Amino acid sequence: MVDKVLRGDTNAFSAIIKATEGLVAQIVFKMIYSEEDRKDIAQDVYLKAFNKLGGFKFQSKLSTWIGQIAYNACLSYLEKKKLVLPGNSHHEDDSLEDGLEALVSKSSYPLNHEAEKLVSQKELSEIMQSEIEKLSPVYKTMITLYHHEDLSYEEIAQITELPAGTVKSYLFRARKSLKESILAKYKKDEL
Amino acid sequence: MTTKHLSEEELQQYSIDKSSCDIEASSHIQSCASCKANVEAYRQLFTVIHDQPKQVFGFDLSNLVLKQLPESKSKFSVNSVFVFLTVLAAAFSISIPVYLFRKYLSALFEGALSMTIYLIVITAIVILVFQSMEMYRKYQKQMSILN
Repeated sequence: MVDKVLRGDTNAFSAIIKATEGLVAQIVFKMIYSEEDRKDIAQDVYLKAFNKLGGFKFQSKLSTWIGQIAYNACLSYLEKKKLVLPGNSHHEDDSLEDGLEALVSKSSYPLNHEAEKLVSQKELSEIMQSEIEKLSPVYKTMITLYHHEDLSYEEIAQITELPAGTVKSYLFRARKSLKESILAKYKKDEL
Repeated sequence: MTTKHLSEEELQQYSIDKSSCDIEASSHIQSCASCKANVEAYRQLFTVIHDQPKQVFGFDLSNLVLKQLPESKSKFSVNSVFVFLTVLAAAFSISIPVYLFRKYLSALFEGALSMTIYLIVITAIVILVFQSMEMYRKYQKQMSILN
């Protein structure tokens, strides 16, 4: 497929788009709020991929390589718009974690089955969706790539160009924050 | 069995992949309501995230992108014509001298031992086979990465 595109068959690029747009959509949706900007960025991602395809070295999956272009395009957009960036997002999450940690501690609040029943699966899904939306764009993207797209730490590291250890650490913090939000919600409903 | 609660990292690890945790941690979770509740919360969280509907673009991305790309090149592009002419020129430049000097060439090989000729041919075939195998292996590797 790559070879066909490189030989000038632009229609073969359509197959590449169809095979990878799912992953690109996950990244763009999690990082960009504006519907119109999502459209522009998604097109920009594939135009960049088309122009850079000759430089694809087969050292990673094609989808991961295009995912990396999508992630970088979103980061550039956020930088341009001076929106939440990975560097300053941690403080936000720290304060969220600290607040929740004070509210919910392992020893003082064990989740029980009665409390579990208070929140139905549908409600839980809605709560989780809104809690995920509260995370920084980078955390949101990582959580989605790992738990929804079933990518490995290494693949996420390739997409984000971060060390695998940093990816693990970001995911750990994001999961913890989300779990505490669930527990806090259970507690609130129980009272 | 340890009475110490599992760390947050261990709880996450247990929730993601139970088999990667040691027996001590596993047996603690079975008897500790607090750790069990945390593991359950993590599992619910992962299930909910995993089961969320996949977000898709509300427009035909492929169509929008293809409109902006240059037209598909014809089958006989300038590049392929150039390659064809180069191969043709190479074939002529080898075959013409061979035809013109055929008498001298046959005289040259008459003097050579038949064993030497066999050795050269076998070596060339072996090299060709190894090159082909290497190319096929590289091709398979690239295909597996793409898949």
